[in-house]
Amino acid sequence: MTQALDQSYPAFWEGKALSLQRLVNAGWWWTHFTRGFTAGAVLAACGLVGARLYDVETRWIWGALGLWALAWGGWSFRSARGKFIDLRAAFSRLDVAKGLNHALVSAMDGVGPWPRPQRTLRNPLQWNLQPALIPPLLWAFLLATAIWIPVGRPAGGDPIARQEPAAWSEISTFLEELKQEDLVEEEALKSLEEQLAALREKPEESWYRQGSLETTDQLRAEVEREARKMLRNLQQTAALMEAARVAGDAMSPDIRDHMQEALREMLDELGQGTLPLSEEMLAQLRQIDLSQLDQLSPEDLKQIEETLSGQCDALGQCMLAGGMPGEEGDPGFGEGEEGGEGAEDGIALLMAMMGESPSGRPGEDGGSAPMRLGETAPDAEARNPFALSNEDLSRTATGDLLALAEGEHDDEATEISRTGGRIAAPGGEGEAVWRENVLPAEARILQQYFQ
Amino acid sequence: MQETKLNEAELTAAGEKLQAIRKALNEVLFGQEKLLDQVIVCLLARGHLLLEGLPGLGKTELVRALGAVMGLEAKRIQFTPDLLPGDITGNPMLQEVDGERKFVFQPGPLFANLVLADEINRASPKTQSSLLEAMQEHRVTSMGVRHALPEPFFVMATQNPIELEGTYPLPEAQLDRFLFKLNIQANGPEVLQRIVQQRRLGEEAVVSNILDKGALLALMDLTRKIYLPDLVANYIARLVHGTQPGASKAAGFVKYGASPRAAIGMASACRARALLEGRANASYEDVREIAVPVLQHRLVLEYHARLEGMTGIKVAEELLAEISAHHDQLPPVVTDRKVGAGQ
Repeated sequence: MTQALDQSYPAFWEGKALSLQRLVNAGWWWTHFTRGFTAGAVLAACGLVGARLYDVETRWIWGALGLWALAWGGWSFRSARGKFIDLRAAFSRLDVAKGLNHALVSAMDGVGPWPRPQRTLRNPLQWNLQPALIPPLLWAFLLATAIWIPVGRPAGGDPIARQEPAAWSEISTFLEELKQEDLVEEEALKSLEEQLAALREKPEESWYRQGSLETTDQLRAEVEREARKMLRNLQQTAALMEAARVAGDAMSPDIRDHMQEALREMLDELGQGTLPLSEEMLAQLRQIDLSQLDQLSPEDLKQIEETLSGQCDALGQCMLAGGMPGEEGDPGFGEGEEGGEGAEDGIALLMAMMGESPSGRPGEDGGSAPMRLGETAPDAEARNPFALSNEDLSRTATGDLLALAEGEHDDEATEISRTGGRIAAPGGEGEAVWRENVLPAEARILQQYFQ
Repeated sequence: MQETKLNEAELTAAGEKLQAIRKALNEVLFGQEKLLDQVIVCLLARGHLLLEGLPGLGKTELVRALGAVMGLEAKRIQFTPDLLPGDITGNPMLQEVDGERKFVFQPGPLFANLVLADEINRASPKTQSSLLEAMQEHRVTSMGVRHALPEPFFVMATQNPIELEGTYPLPEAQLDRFLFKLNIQANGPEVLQRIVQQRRLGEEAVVSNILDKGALLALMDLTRKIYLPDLVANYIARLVHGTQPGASKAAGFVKYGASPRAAIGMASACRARALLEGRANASYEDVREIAVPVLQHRLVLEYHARLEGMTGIKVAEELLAEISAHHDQLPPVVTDRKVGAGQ
């Protein structure tokens, strides 16, 4: 009986040692496994979010995670094996924990007897739950977050980011309208369209950057300036025709020559610039010779005048369509001009070119008076400096007022372009100020916001 | 080395004898149970002992009692600066033998089983070094002739830690010959009261003889049969290696660490302690118990260690705290079961 009991001692202690050995080795494996699997869980969580974002099947991510767990589990076993304890070390730990003074190790080596089993003996080691459970909780949290976190692209994308600056559309519309009216030389229109296309070809994210907006503003300002110049020249040409028709045979040959000269200059201007009048129309107008007015009937002149007026109206409509509202004094924006006013304008224009004033105002009647303005500046150029002609300078004293001119403050009169950065509707002055003063960093923030 | 399995009867008989020795010595030196155990361990391990303590704590009494209990011839040598090597080892004397005049070796006081070298640091280095051969090889050489010392042979040297003027500190080679260095602590009031009540000036304590030389030598042989598991040997090796500068955090103040002789001595002392405890094998606990006496005098500390208050004892204790007995580590997810959580 006693012998049988003694023979059961080694089995008892070996069972306890095996239990301890398994616990320690499992702990080492778990420690190695959690290190690598955490990285896999993070990647899987990112993959899940991405898959949900782009409506991709998530099964392959779970499969990959499972494969990674298996592969890393095997690798962890291999790498942790160097730290695994053997049965002898487990006996030693039992010896120390139970105060057996290496009786178990000695018995295992056959040097001493096996100690009597302690039936209530528990494993002297246990799992340290906090460090053991934190990694799986972290994995669960990561994966659950990746599954449940709301994700999704905004419906229809970002309308603001994809919309081109309004100025481009306006220029484009203006050019299209001009092409339909066949007013302007086609090559010139093509050149402008190419410039516009170059702006559009840039990446969308750079459309609203400072450089792009400034280029847009410059292009639009140039187009608008050229359109207004063309409009003014057409209107003046029409007025000249009307004046020629009204005056008829009453005009002296000198005046007719002057009129012809004025017409030639206007046609030259119409044929130049970014928006030149079409060659065909220009050629027709160049055939008119006002110095030989006898050869032209009033009906012909009336027809030419109406044609030019029609072109003014067409150009005005094009400009309105292109977001270029008329300014005070601009012809062709739907305000009908009464007959006779055009003739007066033509005569005034002609006399101005001849250096005479039809109104007979002092200083403009050919005579000269001391301390007068040498030339009358047109109202449209009131800000330009005047040349002074003082013929009695001996009477002037320091501080005398030599001349006065009407003008406006620069800060108010300075033309501010307000086209490039406009989004949907024309804004006020503040928008232009904001746009032109925006810093690169601010531009980036705005760009990110709109995207 | 092939281990010889201990006989259970031998172990029991040895245990009984050692317990009797313990009891007899405790009747002579009161309140020094741990010190007496360490002295017995040192003797069983065939080591020499360096005792450090103030006068009057019973060092001479201990040697006399040991000699009486174990049936050993004990001699006491008072070391002084003018002591010459020949005064302790013996001198050749010109004598007439069989009608011829010859130099005949006259053994000195070293020729005894138990030698008390009192205040060994008062002798000159020359005299101190004359002990080297005797302690290591148990013999004395005079005029080219080797004279074996009686077996067993033990040296118990004492040092006075407070009177350092006119002393010669023991060189490291000499210190390394001592297996243990023990510090005798002053007694508490209860022990002093017992001493006052049971002792009279001029009276010697009566000590009964327990063993004879042969029995002691048999116990020493038995000590060598105590099983030293490889795990314990590994612990000893890691401890001794840890005394080397840079090998451990505790060795930060150490200039020169312990020698392999220290490791051998530690293993022997472990075996002896296991026998004293009635076990057939040594254990980690034995190593922890004898580590400080074995290591403290073998560590040569840096010059600034004294300024920092470091001693050999503190370094050895820090080393024990730093180096785990288990050579394998536990993973961070496994911990010791809390005390009281189970048996």
